[in-house]
Amino acid sequence: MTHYAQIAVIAGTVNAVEALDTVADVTGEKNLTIESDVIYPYYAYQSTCLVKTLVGQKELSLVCLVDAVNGLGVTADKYEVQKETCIPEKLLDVSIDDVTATDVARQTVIHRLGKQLKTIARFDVNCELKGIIYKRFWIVRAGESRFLVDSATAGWYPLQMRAA
Amino acid sequence: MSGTVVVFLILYYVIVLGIGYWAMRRGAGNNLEGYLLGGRKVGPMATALTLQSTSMSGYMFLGAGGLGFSQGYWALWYAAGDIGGGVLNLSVIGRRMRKLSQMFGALTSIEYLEKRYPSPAIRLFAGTLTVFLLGFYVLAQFIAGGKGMALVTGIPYPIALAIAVGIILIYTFMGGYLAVAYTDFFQSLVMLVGVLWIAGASLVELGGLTAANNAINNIDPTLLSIWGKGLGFQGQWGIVAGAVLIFSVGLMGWPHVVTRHMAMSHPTTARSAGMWATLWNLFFVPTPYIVGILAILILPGLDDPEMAIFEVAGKLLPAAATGLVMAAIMAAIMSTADSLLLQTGSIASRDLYERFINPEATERQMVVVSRGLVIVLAAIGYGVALYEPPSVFSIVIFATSVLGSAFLPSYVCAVWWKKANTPGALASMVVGATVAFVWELAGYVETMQVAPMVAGVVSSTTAMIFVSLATQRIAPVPSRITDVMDEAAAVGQIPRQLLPSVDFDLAPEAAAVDALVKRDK
Repeated sequence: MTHYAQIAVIAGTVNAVEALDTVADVTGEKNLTIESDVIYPYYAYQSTCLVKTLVGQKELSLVCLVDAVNGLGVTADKYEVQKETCIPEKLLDVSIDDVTATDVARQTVIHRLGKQLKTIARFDVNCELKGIIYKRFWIVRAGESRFLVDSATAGWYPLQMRAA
Repeated sequence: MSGTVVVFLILYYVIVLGIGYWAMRRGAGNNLEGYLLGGRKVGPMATALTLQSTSMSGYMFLGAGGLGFSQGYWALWYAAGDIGGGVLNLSVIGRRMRKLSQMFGALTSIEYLEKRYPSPAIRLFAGTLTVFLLGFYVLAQFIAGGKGMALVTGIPYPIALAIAVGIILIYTFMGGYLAVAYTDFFQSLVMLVGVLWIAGASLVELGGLTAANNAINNIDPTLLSIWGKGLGFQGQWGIVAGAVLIFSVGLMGWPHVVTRHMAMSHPTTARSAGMWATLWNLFFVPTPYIVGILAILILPGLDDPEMAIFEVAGKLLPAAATGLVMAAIMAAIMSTADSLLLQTGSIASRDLYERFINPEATERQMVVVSRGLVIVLAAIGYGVALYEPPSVFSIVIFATSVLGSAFLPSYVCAVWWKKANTPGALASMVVGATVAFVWELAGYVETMQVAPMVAGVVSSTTAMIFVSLATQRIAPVPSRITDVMDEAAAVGQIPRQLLPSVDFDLAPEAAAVDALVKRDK
């Protein structure tokens, strides 16, 4: 009996057909197929911080995502999520714990603030864990090559270009 | 300096503050967040200009002009290396390093070195050496700022120096308040136009370059040669090589410059950025040296050669323009000092204090360490700059020689040579820094007729190769690192026509999915 997982997925605008179109547009290949889709986990944080500016204090609100497989943090644009059910085989395993992820998120936001504002200051950053969210990636096959297509941004990356 | 100059100097800062105020008002939340979210989204033009302006300012306005004034056309050896330095730097390590640093999850250049050559010793040595040498570099900016401020305002040097150091500290501690990030572009533009204007005014004053060269020939024909005043460097190719290398390959060893590669929007940005860097360099790099050479005729009795550019501007430009241009130059010097201090404070707190002294450090403690170090550097810098100020040129050449010698092979091999291992990198850093340092202090430049940079880079490269090869069995490069290097190298195997559209931010996810697909097979 197949068990289904109920998960929060970043609402994607790129469906399977559009993923094929994306790869077809850039490669010129016509014989394309969707090999599979994978659901990639991220720890999602809502970070807030008070920053002093020439016109007074501003409360900044930043989204920070921590790649739950590689442990890499990145500040991100706001996104919407939708509930989905999927088979667990499509989910990549979470490799880092939430304590590590929270530390990465704080470091990522503090580093970004210090660097972009060009100042040494104490930023009271509060990173609130919103949970694990997922993003769907399409794996598109073109002959011997494979491409990974982001369902939220339509960005793509070659997986098996070397083998082509 | 006339009152008009001071009025326009103040006017410049009012404009800059106005731009910052307008930007912050307009930002009202969303734009500021958008700016902060910029992440690695720095385009080719911005990458190139930031890279070039970070590596210049204080030296270019004082050191380069002073060298041209003292040594004539010999100074252009330095410019020759510098013109190609940007494109060489971006081409050799720019693209791959951006991708590697992202895949390693490294936030600073020193952290990147430790992740590539896994050992605490790497971070400890690299961090300590960088803090020490960037301290020298900051000193050069203090002296440049103090001298410039004294000349522009007419106030005594000790007070001008204190004001310059004070403003730099305010920049560093309150950068966000002043919104300097919004005004950087404006500042760079005024600086570029200003320097070209000074050069143009000099040529007009002297009746053109040919007439100027003829006049210099009448004073001292050796100033027109490529061997320096009195043919002092004739046949000394080891010195010539050092002059060319210092701002070409030497640039690749500067941690604060290398950091820029980690902030590019796209690994392929390096290619376009290289073009912009070369374009910028063609116009900007030779100009201060040439103004220095022309100053031999314009200011024959100049006491301090390093003030050549400021003095020429004061003599030839309209008072209003002098005020604006000098303000832009001063702001650029201070902005560079601010960037260097931020980098130094960040390395001291994150790479040294948190990593080795207090792993549980709170953010408050980290800021105290950063600010404390900055204040100590400012105090020492003020003392040295006040009582026995060395020339800006000599400080920059010294710091660059040691930094380049220590780090060049480590950064280059980190992306290009999979056998480069931790013992090799450590040996390379220690040997390179020591040889360049001793070479400079012991005066081997004169006796051996070889520049410290050349001796240091040859030594550190040799150490990297021999020690890495000799220790492959006992200290092999971990497979997780060679895998990441393979992934970074794969960029070059993607067909060129596809490169612009690849989303390189997906590289870490792709590596994980790739591993999953291979495992399932």
